[in-house]
Amino acid sequence: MKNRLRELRAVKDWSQADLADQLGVSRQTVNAIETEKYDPSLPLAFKVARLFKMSIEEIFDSKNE
Amino acid sequence: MTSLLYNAETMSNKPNNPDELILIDRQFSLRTAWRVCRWLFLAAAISALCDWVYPKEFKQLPFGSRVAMVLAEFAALALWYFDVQRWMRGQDELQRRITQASLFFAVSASFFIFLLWTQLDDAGFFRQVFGRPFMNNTWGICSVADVFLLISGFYGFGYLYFRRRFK
Repeated sequence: MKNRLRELRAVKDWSQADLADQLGVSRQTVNAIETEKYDPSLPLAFKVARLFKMSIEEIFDSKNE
Repeated sequence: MTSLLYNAETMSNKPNNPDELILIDRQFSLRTAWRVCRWLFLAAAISALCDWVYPKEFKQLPFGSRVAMVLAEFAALALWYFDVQRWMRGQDELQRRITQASLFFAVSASFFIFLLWTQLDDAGFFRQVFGRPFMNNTWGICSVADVFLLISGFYGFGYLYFRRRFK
């Protein structure tokens, strides 16, 4: 699933480890989501959306799978 | 909510890291290995003593002691199961998925090898090829320590394989 996580993280000037800490997941998970090797669960997607104050659809795009 | 599931023992929001259990990984932690696998080590140690080191002495023990030792092995295994379950609950979702896949692979592969080995042993394959066994008069995989070695080996191999897919 395509997503804008890397772009949004760059805007905030966070490292993958920073984002991982805030989401309570490992850096490996953040990297796997950014490289589209892993689709997050719904609770994690909500957490990401809440962190960036956006809706899930604005971050994750299921149409371009 | 997920953070509530993380291990309360360490009072940390960081998920448990499965790399800490892989012997050849640079993040390997003896402390974590001990915390998660202490009961398995105990079961393997009792089994190794009974089946490898002192098998003759073990058979001469009173009936009650022998049964108690065998039951102690399996009680330790049950306790290990709860520790692993708790440790997995403390992982994040991707790590948990990788650990589950690795454990499934390890158990399936060990079961497959166990069946194959037993059938070959029954057919007299090992006696034919390697001659007389040097321990317990059998080539069979019959102790907890044997199974522990099989499962650990396959778990490590499976974990490294599944982890690569998400790197």
